[in-house]
This record gives sequence, C-alpha cells and structure tokens, in this order.
Amino acid sequence: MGDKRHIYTNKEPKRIQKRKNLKAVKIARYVIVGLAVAFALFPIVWTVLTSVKFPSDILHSPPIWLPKELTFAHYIGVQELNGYKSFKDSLIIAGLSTACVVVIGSLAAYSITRWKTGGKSFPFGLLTLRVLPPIAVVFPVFLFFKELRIIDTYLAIILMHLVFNLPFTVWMMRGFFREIPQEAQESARIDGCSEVGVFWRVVLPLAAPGLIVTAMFCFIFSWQEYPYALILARRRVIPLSVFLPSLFGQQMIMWGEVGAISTISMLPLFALGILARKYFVRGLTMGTVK
Amino acid sequence: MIRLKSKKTLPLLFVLPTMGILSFVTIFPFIYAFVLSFFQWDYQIMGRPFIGIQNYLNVFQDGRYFSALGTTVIILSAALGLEFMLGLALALIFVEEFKGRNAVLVMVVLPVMMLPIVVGYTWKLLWNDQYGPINHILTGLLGKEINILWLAKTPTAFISIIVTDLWEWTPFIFLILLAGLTSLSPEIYEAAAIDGASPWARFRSITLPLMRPVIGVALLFRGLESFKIFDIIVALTQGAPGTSTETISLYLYRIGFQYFRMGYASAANIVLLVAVGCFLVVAVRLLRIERGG
Repeated sequence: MGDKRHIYTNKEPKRIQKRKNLKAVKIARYVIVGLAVAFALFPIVWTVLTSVKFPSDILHSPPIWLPKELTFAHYIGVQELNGYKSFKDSLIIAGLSTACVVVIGSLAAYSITRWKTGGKSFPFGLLTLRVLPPIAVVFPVFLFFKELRIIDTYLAIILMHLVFNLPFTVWMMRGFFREIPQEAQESARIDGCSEVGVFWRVVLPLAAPGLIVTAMFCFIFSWQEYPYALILARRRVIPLSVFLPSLFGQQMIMWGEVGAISTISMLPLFALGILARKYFVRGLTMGTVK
Repeated sequence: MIRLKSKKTLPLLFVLPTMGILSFVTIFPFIYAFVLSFFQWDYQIMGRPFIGIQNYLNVFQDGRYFSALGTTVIILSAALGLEFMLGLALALIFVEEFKGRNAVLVMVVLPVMMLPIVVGYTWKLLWNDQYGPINHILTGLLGKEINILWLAKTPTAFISIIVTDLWEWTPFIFLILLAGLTSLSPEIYEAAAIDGASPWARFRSITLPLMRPVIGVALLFRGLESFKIFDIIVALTQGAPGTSTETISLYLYRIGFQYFRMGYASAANIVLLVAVGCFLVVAVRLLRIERGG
C-alpha cells in the first residue's frame, strides 16, 4: 500500500493526464447521449410533423424538414374516416380488460402468494401462456368464437387480451403482495378478521400503488396489441391498431391521416409511461428484475 | 367443520376465475384445433374429410414454413445481438450520474411505449426512397446522392426491419441492464480499482458475471417477444420482396386467414406451439430464473 502511494505522489503529470482523460470521457458521454436521444426522438417527431404538414409537403422530394405552413386538416380527416370511434373502441377495450384483469388477477396472485395454490408450476404455466405466439393462439380461438358468434365484439377482444395480461398481473401482484409485511396481516387475523377481510381491508390497500402500476401496464399492453384485434375485429369494433393499417388499402396513402392517428394513439401511452416510469423495469420483466 | 372446509375452498375460489378464463380462451380452442388438424378443411373443397396425420406430414415438407422460421430466426438473432450490445453500452454510460440524466432517460424510453404497428408505419415513411428522410440524411452525411429502395430488395429490407426493431426495443434491454448495473454494489468496484484492475478487467470479471441473471432475463424476454414479430413486418414489407421477409407469424396468418386452409393451419400452429413450448422449458432450465423469487 505504502509503495503505491509513493509512486503516485511522485508522478504528478499522470494526474493531470487523468483529469484530461476524464474531461474527454465526459464530452464523449454527452455526444453519445445526444445521439441516442436524437435517434430515439427523431421518428416520433417526424410522425408528429407529418400530421401537421400539407400533403404537398409530405410527398415532397427531397423531404421538407420544417414546413412553412401548418395544417390541422388531417385531424379533421381522421374524424371523417371514423378514427375517433376507433379511439373510443381502444379506450373501451383497454379500459374494460384492465379492470377485469386487475380484479381477477390479484385474487389469483393473492391465492398463490398466501396459500401456494398450484405449487411452483402454476405461475410458470401462466408465464408460458404469455409467450405463445398470438397468431398461433388466436387461430383456434377464432374458430371457437365463430361458433359462439362473438367475433367482432368488445367481449371477444377483451377476452383475448386477458391471455397476456392475466399472467402479467399475477406475476406483478405476486411480487407486490410478497413485499407486504406479514405482521399487518397477522394482527388483523388475531383481531378476528376473516381471510377475505384480510385480503380486502389489509393487503389490497397496502398493495394499492403496485395495483395501480400493474393496471397502467395492462392498459398499455392492451392498447398496443395488434394480432388478436386484427383477427377478432371486423366492422363494428375497430381498435386503433387495426384502424391504422386500413388507411393503406387505398391507392393513395394518406400519410397525413396516418401521422395524425399515430400521434393520437401514442399520446395516452406516453403519459402513462412517464407516470409509471419508476416501475418501468419491473413492469417490463413481470417483476423478475426490480 | 365449516371453517375447515372454507380454508381449502377459498384458495381455489380465488384462482378459479383466472383458471376458468384462461382455459376458456386457450385450452378448449387448443383441443378444438388439435382435432381439426386431422381433417382437411379447405376453402376450395366440399366437406371435411378425415386425413389422419397428413397435415402434419405436409407441414414438415413445407419449404415456406421452414424458410419463414429461418427468416424469423435471422431477424431475431441480428436484432437481439445489436440491441444487446447497444443496450449494454448505453447502460454503462447511464449508470453514472450526469446532468439531465432523468429527463434523457424518459426520452430514450419513449419508443417502447409506442404501438408496434405505429412504429412500423412510422418507419415505412422514414425508409421511403423518395420523400423519406433516411436517404436524404445519408446523402448529406456521405456527400453523394444516395437513392436506395430500402424495402424493395431483400438485403436492404432485412436491414430496414432490423433497424426498426432495434429502434423500438433497444430501450427495453437498456432499461433492464441499467437496473441490473445500478443494483451492483460500488464497494466491489472500489476494491477492484484499489487492486489496480483495468476498466476492461473490471467489466469482464466483475460486471459480466454479476449481471448474468439480469442479462438472461433481458435476452429471454426480448427473444421470446421477438419470435412473435408480426406488426412491424405487416407494416413495413408484408413479407416482400416475394416471401423473403415473411416471418412465421405472418405465414401462419396467411395460411389461416388468407388461404383459408383451416385444417392445415391447425397442424402448422400446433407444431409451432409445441416447438416454442420445448424451447421455453429448455431456456428456463438453462437460465434458472430464480423460482421462488
């Protein structure tokens, strides 16, 4: 130890060198961070800009970066194409499926945490369900739902969104329930609270922040979902993810409307994402990384 | 007596809705599809004759099925590899505090929040050879006229798909790795620095081994998601040129919902589900995600 200190004190230039290096590292860091931000934001900004450009500016070659004049005509055009009805459909589907999944999923999660229902294989079975390719899952479901005559209804899409959101909720809530101190539950039990009472009056209120975050993620996943909705939506129910591709059927691509509907569709998600950002990693990994 | 009974029924009562719904939308349809896979049910023919395992034999002789699987694996491995390297590099930069770090984190993460189908169409516009900005930017950077028809040729179509996927999902891997790095204790690094370990040595023999479980989770989650790739392909290329960028999800969609070969689609789906199931069992064993948590 003494040796090393001796060496360093005698080599003053090395320190200055190091400080210079540190400055270079700092600058390099800001450059890389700047590039990353530019790369991440550019497509989003371009889409928002497209939604307020005049069609002649959108189809201009070379592309026009900053248009001289802005228009909101595309947002009105979306109205004529029934785009806002799709917004409502997405809201209903994501809202209702989230409400269902939070109630049903937290019951199951509590049962798994408290009584180890189904042993270790139950949560893992659920995880498997989440990773199955939707197209492979939805095909038999489509035939099955056709027999039941529920194709093109909210019910059909909401039910299928439970396939990925239920396992998610169970895994997330299992993690949050585990973090609740046992003492609180025990003392409630000693006070004569029933098991249902303990769950309802003690565990749920304590896990409320976790429940809200889980609900936010379920809403986001449901809002983003495409393959299930594509196959189960027809004419009466068209969520945003299915509405958008329909703008590409015509001969002329309506880029302005595409930009407008894209902008409208991502705003609620950005808001939710920013609100839930503290729990982002936990949400993305179903609670396996905290 | 009643108390004893309720003690056993309550746990089951709590999981019943979950079990009920999931079996209703997965297990019953699966059984239905399994039965169907032994019949020929096509758009063109009358009736539904029983043909035994013929559908399965056809799946294993279907070149397009396996080329779609191959395409999926190519996109998956290229995107996953690049996303991992970029994500790790960014995470190593972001693990240290700097001014504006939190604001930047929020911005960098926005792509994950977007609808994948919107991501696809957003990039379809960016890749456009006439009015898209990518050719324009490349022209400016390289100082000569660049005019690439990105989505029209197989190699550039692959590049377009991979870059688009990378844009959307690098933040996902980045965030998970960043969380892992932040949770490592600084004492180990201080000790290593005192011992005179170089940054590279520290990274190789401390960071990587300690991060292994987190890296495993990140790659497994992203890999499984990436295998389903569908939205971006539908928006960008629809499998074109030809069927060269057709992924397995897109091909399955076409057999079932464009060619209406119900029996064959059932068999093709079941083969894929079984394959993914086997892969998952092996992957989870290999990574040993901590069971009890």
